[in-house]
Amino acid sequence: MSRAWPVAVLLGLAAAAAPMPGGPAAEERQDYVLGVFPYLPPARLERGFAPVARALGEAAGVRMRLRTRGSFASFREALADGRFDLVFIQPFDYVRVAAPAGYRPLARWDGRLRAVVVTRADSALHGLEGLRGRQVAMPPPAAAVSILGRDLLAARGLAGAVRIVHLRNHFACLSQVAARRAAACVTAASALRVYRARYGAPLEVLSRSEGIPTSLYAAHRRVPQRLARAWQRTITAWHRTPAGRRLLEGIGFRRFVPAQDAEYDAVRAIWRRVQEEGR
Amino acid sequence: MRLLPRSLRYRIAAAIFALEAVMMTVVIWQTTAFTRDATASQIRDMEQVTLDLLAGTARVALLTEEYDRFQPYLEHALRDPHVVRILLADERGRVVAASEQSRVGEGLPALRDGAETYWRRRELANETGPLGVLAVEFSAAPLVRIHAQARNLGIAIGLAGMAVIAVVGVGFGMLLTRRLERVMAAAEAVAAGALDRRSGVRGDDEVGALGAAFDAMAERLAAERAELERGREALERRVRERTAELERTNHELESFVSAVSHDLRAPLRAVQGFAEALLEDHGDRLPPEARGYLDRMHGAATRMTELIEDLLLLSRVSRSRLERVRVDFSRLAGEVVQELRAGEPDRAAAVEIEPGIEAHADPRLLRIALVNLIGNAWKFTRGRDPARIQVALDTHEGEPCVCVRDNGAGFDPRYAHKLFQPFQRLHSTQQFEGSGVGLSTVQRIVHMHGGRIWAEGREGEGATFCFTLGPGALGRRMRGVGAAGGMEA
Repeated sequence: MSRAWPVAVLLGLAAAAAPMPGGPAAEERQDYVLGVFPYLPPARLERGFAPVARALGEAAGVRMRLRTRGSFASFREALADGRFDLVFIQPFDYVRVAAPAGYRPLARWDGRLRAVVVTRADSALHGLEGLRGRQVAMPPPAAAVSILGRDLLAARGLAGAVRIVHLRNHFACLSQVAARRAAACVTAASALRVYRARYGAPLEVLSRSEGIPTSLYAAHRRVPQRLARAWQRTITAWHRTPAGRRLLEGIGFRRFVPAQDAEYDAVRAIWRRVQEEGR
Repeated sequence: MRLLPRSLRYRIAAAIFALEAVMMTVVIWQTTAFTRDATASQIRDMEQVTLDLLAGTARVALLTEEYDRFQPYLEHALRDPHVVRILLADERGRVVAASEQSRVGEGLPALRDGAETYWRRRELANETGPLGVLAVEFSAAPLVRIHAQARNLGIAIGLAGMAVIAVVGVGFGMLLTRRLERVMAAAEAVAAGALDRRSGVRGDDEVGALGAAFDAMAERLAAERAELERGREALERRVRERTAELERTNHELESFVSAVSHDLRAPLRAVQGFAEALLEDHGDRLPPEARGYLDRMHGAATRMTELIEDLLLLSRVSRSRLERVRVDFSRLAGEVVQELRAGEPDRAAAVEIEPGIEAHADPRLLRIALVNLIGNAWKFTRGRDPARIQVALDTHEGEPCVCVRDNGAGFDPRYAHKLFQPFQRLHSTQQFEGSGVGLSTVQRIVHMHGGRIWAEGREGEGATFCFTLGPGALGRRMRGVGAAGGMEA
């Protein structure tokens, strides 16, 4: 007992110093950070999410700054450190890093996230089987579509039968296919739409994975409930107003709906499967 | 002080040079200004590009908070000598990346331009607000250097151009004035009398026209001069012929007069001699009336003899050869007066002769002239009491002259022009004897000496006869100098 009381005092002090969700200290903050996972180049992300961050700040009556990271790995590190108050992340990062780090889901894209296997329109490929022995480009390994893609390939018996190369982001992946340096690219449908709109590349979808809950907004538990609810209301109402729709259009989504943590159990299952495949 | 000769070539060169200097200055000024502006614009564009490039990566670094990713771009930008320092501060003004690592973590300093550097600041922001500040310090040295190079090059080109223009200007001036100088030299030669000189300048331009016109003028001038020369020669020849003819005629006339006088003198002497003999030998036996006729005949013969003597004297004078020597004029006049006094010892006359008068004249002719002039004064003062005669050196119109004055009978000035004509007399022979040839003889002697003679007087108030003997022929003997010494006018 005599040995345990200093530890108890320290734990108590630490607990007292730690910000409590909805506590008075959190209420006093006027400056918050929206972290967006780097699924697009930073400049492109800024174009789409800076207006989003501003709208969310205005909705909550605070200033909201936009931040991202140069890589998925560094983003996950920052996510694990709780560097962001509000995050827009892909589902696997949520189940792997964000949820354990104290983030709670607010809203998700109203749809299912699938990995799409894209090839050039003039390609001779007609199915995934044709990729055997070929080079397949993917976003960084931790990207949701990369995980879904590997799961898809494994399900089709192509695990280890294709040469997988990971690129910096979705656009780099798609560019590899457009430049004929890869037979196919595993990406997200939203990234493909943006890429097509921007570059007009003649690409077509070769195959799709099963759908999982999509990328989501999640707030750290230190964020006051009032703000978290305001953000959730705002995000899920964008599709109802022209200004909101413009915001959605800027980031390549059509509608967000409230999200629950339980919806991501399927994602957790895929993650575990992929982990087991990797072993 | 004249900086440039008055030559046209230098004036042309100076004008071209001045004009070119002004134009060159304007062009260099404009070119330098244009170069400076263009360089400044290029450097501004480079600054803009540098700022844009850095701002893009800085924005990513600020968005991702991965400032180390900005460092390679920063270091790359610093390779540009135009870029001196780079600072990237976050939205709170804290330096997060810098060309000097020691500044990282500090607050963004006040950006003050240096003597040769200046800052450019770019605010980075998006819809959420400011992201941070990118500050780049640029060096103005390249701009200053380029400007100086452009200016120096412009000045060098300008000076070289002006030197070339100066040489070309002088050359052009020489080219233009070379032909003008030929015209000028020909004009000077013609002016000096070389009427055969021509410029020989021809051409289609104004100088060529000037040369041709001058040559035509000189040609015409030479022709007219030759014509005049021929006329003058003809005239001179005619004058010589006429003079010779006149001299011959004069000579013949004088020979005739001399011959006649000589021939007349012998019978006259005979008449005179026989009349004297008749009076001496038979005068007491002749009736008074006859003796009166005989006296009058003898007197007439005597006057005629005197007249013939005077005519012969005039003739001799005219044919005399003039031989000038230095003559003591005063002494010569004194000798004449002594002779007159000897002829009439009882005559009381006050004669005043200015001493020291000298003449450069023929002494024999000068004595004849003085005998006539002083003799006339002696004669026409007869009956005056006191009779006064003065011989003095005077000046008339700046020329020395000798005047013989008396207080004798004088003459009517209306007839002064007749005084020097032969046989012209203003008084009767009953009043004053004489032939009327004496003053003509005096005038002839004066003219032979290159002088002139004139008379002034009034009836009953005396007369004055003055004469010159040519330039420098009359004057006073200089003090301390003997008779053979010099004269002063």
